[in-house]
Amino acid sequence: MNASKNSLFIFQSALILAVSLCLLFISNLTWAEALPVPKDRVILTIEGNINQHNVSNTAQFDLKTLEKLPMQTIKTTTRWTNGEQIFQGPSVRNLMQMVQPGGSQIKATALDGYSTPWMTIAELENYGVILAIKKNGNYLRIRDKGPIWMMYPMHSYPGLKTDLSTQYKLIWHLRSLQIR
Amino acid sequence: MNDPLIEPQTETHNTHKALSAPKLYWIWGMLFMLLLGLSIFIGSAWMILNYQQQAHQDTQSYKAYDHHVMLQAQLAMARLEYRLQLANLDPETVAEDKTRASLPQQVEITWSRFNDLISGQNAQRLLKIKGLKTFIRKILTELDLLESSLHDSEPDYEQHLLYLDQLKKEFAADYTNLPAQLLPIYKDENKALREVQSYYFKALILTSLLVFVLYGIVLFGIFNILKTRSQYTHERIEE
Repeated sequence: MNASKNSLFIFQSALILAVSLCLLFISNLTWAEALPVPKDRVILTIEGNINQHNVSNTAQFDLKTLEKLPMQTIKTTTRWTNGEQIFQGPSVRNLMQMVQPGGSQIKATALDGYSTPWMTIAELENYGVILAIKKNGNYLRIRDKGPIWMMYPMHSYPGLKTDLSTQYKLIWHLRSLQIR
Repeated sequence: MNDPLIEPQTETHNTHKALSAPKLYWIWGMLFMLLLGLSIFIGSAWMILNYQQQAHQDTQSYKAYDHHVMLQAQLAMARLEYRLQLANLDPETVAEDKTRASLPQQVEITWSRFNDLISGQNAQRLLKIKGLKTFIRKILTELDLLESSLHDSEPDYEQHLLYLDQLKKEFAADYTNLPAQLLPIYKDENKALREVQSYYFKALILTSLLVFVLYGIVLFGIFNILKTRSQYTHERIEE
């Protein structure tokens, strides 16, 4: 009697464990595929070697989707603004976690056709680069170098302020990211 | 006292005394001062070269950024004119496509590019050019008008094109020699560097004078020692 009770208990436990594992797997799968389709105007397109897509082979984002990502803040001066500015936006690291890149290099292109040189994703992640969508609490308009301005934390790395190659990467009017 | 054997000994003793400690210390002191003077001289010369190089680099950097913003503004304006011409022919071309911004976006981009001339670090130099700020404000106002007119049912692209063309001609007439107008401003920007440089230049002149004087004194001292020694040797030979 006791032996049959024990075996029933083991069977029930195994069943619960299996169901839990299945649920966990399904929820993960759902999270990974949950790159939402943009409902408003697309302001950023990520294309190339990425594993998560929402519109054909690209990952497209509207302002609301970008805002749902954890906001990072960079307080710095730039060559193109007067005085210290507060930039806010999602970090490249968080964005990359969302699109799961298959490559290690990235290139940014602006609305006016300007492109940065190819950069490593690791460099942007290590520096904590953000895609700023707000400046001093206000959304960046195109005339404020928006809708997205790639920003390095130059206050933490003062050498970057005088490094010309970094200045080339502070791309404004950002429109798309290519990954290879 | 008049013993001839004692007399030369006293002379020799005097000769030794002439080369004794105080005089040698004096020579060593002078040599040390000479070395100190030389090191300050070399240090000042090196600092002058260093500051010269820094001032040159700064000027090149200012030039590069200023020319960059000016070229970008002109490029944005050329693209805007092209988009306006296209929109005038076919209003369908106003929209954004995969390779280019929409007409309203291009207006904003052009606004941003011209605003770069009067804001940020470049403005510290460019605004010193007489009349440039007023002129840029005129362009920005026209771009604001153009932007608001894009919401009209039938925008008058041609009128805006004509006015932008007129502004462009004004810009070309007044600011074609902008790089030349900027040169004295770059010099002014390097004022602090040049002040430090002039300080080191004064130090260089003073130390070079000091070095020459000390060099003369040391040479004179060495000459005196050699003279005393040769006198002493001569006396010994005579003995």
